[in-house]
Amino acid sequence: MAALSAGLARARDGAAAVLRAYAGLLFARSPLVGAMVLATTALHRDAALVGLAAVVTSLLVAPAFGIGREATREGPYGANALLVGLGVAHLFAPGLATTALAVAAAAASVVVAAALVALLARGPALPVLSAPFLVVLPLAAAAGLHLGLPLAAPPGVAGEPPVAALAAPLEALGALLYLPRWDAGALLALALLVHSRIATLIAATALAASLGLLALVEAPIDPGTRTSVGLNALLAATALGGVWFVPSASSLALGTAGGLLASLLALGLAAPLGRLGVPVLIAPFWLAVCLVLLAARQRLADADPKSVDFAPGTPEENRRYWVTQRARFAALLAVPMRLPFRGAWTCTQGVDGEHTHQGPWRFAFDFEVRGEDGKLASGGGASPEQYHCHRLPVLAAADGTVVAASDALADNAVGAQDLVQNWGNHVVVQHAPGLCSLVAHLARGSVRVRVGQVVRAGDEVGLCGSSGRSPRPHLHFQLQGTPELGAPTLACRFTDVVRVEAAGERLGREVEPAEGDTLRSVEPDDDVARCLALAPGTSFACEVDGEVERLEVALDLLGRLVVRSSRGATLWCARTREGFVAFDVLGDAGSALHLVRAALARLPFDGRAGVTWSDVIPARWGRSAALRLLRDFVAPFSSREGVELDYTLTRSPGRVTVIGRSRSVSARGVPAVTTRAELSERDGIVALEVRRGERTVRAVRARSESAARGRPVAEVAGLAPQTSGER
Amino acid sequence: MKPEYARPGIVRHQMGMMNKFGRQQTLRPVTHVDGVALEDLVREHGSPLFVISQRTLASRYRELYEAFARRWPRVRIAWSYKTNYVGAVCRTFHKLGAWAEVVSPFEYDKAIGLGVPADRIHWNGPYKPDDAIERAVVGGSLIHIDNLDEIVRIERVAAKTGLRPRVAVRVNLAVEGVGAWSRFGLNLESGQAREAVVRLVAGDRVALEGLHCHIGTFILDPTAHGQAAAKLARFANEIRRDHGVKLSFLDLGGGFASPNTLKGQYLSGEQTAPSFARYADSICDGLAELDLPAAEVPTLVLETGRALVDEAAVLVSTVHATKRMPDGQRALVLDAGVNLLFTAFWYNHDVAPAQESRGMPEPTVLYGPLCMNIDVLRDSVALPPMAIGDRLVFRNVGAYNMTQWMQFIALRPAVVMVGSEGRSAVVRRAEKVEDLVSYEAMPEWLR
Repeated sequence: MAALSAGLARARDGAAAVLRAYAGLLFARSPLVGAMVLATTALHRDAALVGLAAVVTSLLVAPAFGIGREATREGPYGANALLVGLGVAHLFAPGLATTALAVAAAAASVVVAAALVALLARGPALPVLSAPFLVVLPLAAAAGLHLGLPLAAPPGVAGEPPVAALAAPLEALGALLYLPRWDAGALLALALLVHSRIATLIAATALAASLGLLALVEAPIDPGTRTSVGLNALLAATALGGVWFVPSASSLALGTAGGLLASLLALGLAAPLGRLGVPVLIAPFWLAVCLVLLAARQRLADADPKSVDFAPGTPEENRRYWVTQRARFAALLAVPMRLPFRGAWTCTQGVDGEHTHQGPWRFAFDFEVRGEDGKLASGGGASPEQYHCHRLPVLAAADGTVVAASDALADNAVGAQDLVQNWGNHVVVQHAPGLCSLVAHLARGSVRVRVGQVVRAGDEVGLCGSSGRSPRPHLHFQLQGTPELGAPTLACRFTDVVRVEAAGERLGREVEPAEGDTLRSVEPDDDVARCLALAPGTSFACEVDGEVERLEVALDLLGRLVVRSSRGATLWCARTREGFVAFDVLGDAGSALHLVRAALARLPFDGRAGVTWSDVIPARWGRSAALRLLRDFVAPFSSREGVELDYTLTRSPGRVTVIGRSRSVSARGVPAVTTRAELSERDGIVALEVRRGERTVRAVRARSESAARGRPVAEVAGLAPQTSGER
Repeated sequence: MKPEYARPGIVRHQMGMMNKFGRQQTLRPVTHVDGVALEDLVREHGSPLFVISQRTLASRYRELYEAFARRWPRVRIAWSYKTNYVGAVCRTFHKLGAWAEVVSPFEYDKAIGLGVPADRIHWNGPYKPDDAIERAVVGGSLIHIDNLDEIVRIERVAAKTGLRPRVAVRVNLAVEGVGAWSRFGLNLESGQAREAVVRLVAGDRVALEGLHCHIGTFILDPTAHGQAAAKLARFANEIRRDHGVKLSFLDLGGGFASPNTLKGQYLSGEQTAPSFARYADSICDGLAELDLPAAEVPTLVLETGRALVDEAAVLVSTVHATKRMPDGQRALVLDAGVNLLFTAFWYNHDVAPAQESRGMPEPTVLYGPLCMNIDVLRDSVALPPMAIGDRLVFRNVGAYNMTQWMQFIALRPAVVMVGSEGRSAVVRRAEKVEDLVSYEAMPEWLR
């Protein structure tokens, strides 16, 4: 029995790997797309069988050769073997000899692919793509001719498509499988559409551009060359615009340009290579991609289009991830910076400030304190003591080591400045190699740290004063690369900062203070924090759709906090003294973890009443699936993604409720999406709910394993059965 | 019969020249609160009338909170209910994040009724009946232990409910320059407080979460609070060292001065009341005695009442009659007396006309409406001539008056709150005879 199920599992894995190889031709991973490509090859039955044999060969040879399972599946092995096998099958008449040649060539392609991975990917970091196929197929063809294998009959013709104008593009697409027929192209186009609407859009644009140009100049070229031009254009464009770069208007432009470059190469290489007796195949595609990627490295900044430097998915997924990431986290900082003071201070000179924050010192901040009357000082402000910020504690912005400290200078009289010792009394803390923070103009005798001392974020290092180039008491803060006084400054954002405004207090995750901003740090409240303990090693159970799902909190290999679900989903998150952030969920769409991500996108553990914050949750909560599919076509031209929610927190004894309301409202004036999370000190997450309009889309009730043993879920959750509708 | 000699009233005219006391103080009339005309309010709601400025409440709260939050990592303000428990005042503070500090079962229930979570209530005071203790324990409120007998009571409740009450020990301690305030709590210097802690830890039925002290009221010298903070911090260090108990809060009580002028005080309160920043400096310096890193220090709890609310309220009263006393002093009979302004017993309340007035100021005695000799609001205050129907405004009356006022001889008037954008609303309506009669019952034999 066990052997049988193990065998079944292996067969399932094997089938998935085969389909993966087929999907790889369209830069996809989905088995469904793979099956559709496989079905397309079946338009030529003999070739389909040979292609399948070639793929299976590669999937057997690669592990036998010692390539790891993961690398076999993710690498270029299967797809290249498939192309080689199909190529051989379309060149020579069907028969045992042809199949044997294809299998041998497929095996050879594995070795060539491994060699090219070693050569290209490890060295110049260029994609291997179809390069192994480009090396092996001409050799296999030459070998077949040399061995005297009978040539295949010319390919069948499928007639004219219903729309004549689509003939050329569809034939070009079909040529990917050596089937330059509109029906093969249509099937592949369907597969591409299933894989990615964005990729389809990019492919169509590139095809239209290249074939349109050809038609425009009325070039006297044969259909074969035209098909080759089209195929190379669409492949290059799809790879660049949708795979290597995050889909956007600029990636579409880059993709199209790359497609035109590939077209040019296809036209230009056809004659010289033909003289050598080598077919062009899809070499122009590979060359164009490599050239553009190399060229892109010379850009000043990796932006517009942004390269995919994260775990890739479909073009849609890549775009969603990147746009959401940019909206949620202005910058993910290796060392989070805290405000260097307690309570609310006002930024009185920001980046590129008019007084002194210029040139190399542009990324600096001056902070002062405004009283309730909005003034910086009581009385007339004639002496330093009258300023509200005078002698307030100044803190270390992050953990680090003190590398400079001085406090010998007296406060200046108001209006006077010491231009000789610009920085006055100061402390420099080194947080990481190449990252130091400077606080300056401290009060005389107030520095409480010594050089070499290790400080933690939030430790007092001195008191605010008015020494150095400081006409009135204020705190100067900057990040710099080296410990020297006067070193050029580095851009700085402060993490978990609350903006204090007349309309209320709003949390910002990464804030670059601007002149006039009044800011404070999150003030951690243990009562709130206790409701979301998420201690690694603990687990809790959720009831979703009547099914119990177990969630386990753990640390992954990199020390990141993750919650793993028994349904095969994983949530990456972070929990600090200041709050909780849910980064991303991967895996089963039905898992309760998606609800955690939506209802608890982030939770500041802030004690003060009335702090609000906003976050972005995936679009799936806001739109129906059909609408989302349609929107994919225009998504690259939009810089917005998902649903933006405003969250508030209410607390009752031992309990915290987080309510999220989308900014967009429905026709009836209710928020399009609302979320609700209930947390309790005893049981942690108790209930999660997402509603679209007035309908509950999904809700779970959760209980901690230890507290809930032997008691019914509803009782533990303490929830009235208020979750109705579509669960 | 020959009439008694009555001293003629002669008013010396001063022409704005400096004398040895400085320049003649001119009284600016107080006509508006946050843009709302007092005259309009009185016409609508009657005289006398308490008027509370919500803006002042909020700005004083923020000033207090920020003064401490800029110096100490964790700060909590617990609104002292006894100072003013008009619901709208409490709600204003709770909305800004204040917890509640109550001293009786009545105040406890009032706080719960206002929506304060039970675990955000500090319960102080010498009188805590068993059933009220039980409610507080079940709700998770913080009970500040006043005496050793209370420990037994709380432990009995703990045994009965199977819960672990959250408690703090109220400590009284000696501070230089301030009279002993030893009636409440357990004495630190004598070792009583230490014994109580030993007893609580050994009993192991309660969670000891904090220490509390209150050195007195209207303390004009901030260094006194600093001394108290240092002593409390050292005691907290000792508790951690001896018992391994890490306290989650230190409660410094209240006692900050408001801008009122105490009787017998030479300078005016406006000049003598230290700013919140000065109290904060001193207290946070004292707390620096704690031997804990910044991330682990206990929360500093403040129960400031008077200094938060005093400035926010005025009492508008109307001149009912004018008199010349036999000694020649001018007198005014007002419709508000010590029945409403209990604090007049220890303050010389700041008073100003509510309308422009002409004429030289003259020392005036202000009497209330009670038919009682004690009903004097100011023994002597320089006021311009006032006519019947003119209004006088007593400033800085937010603390203790709306709780300690008496229903004696007269009924209590309405309280109005002025909100933002010129809004105003009655937050406590004027009493009616029916209200008072409704408490009473007539025995059958008198019917």
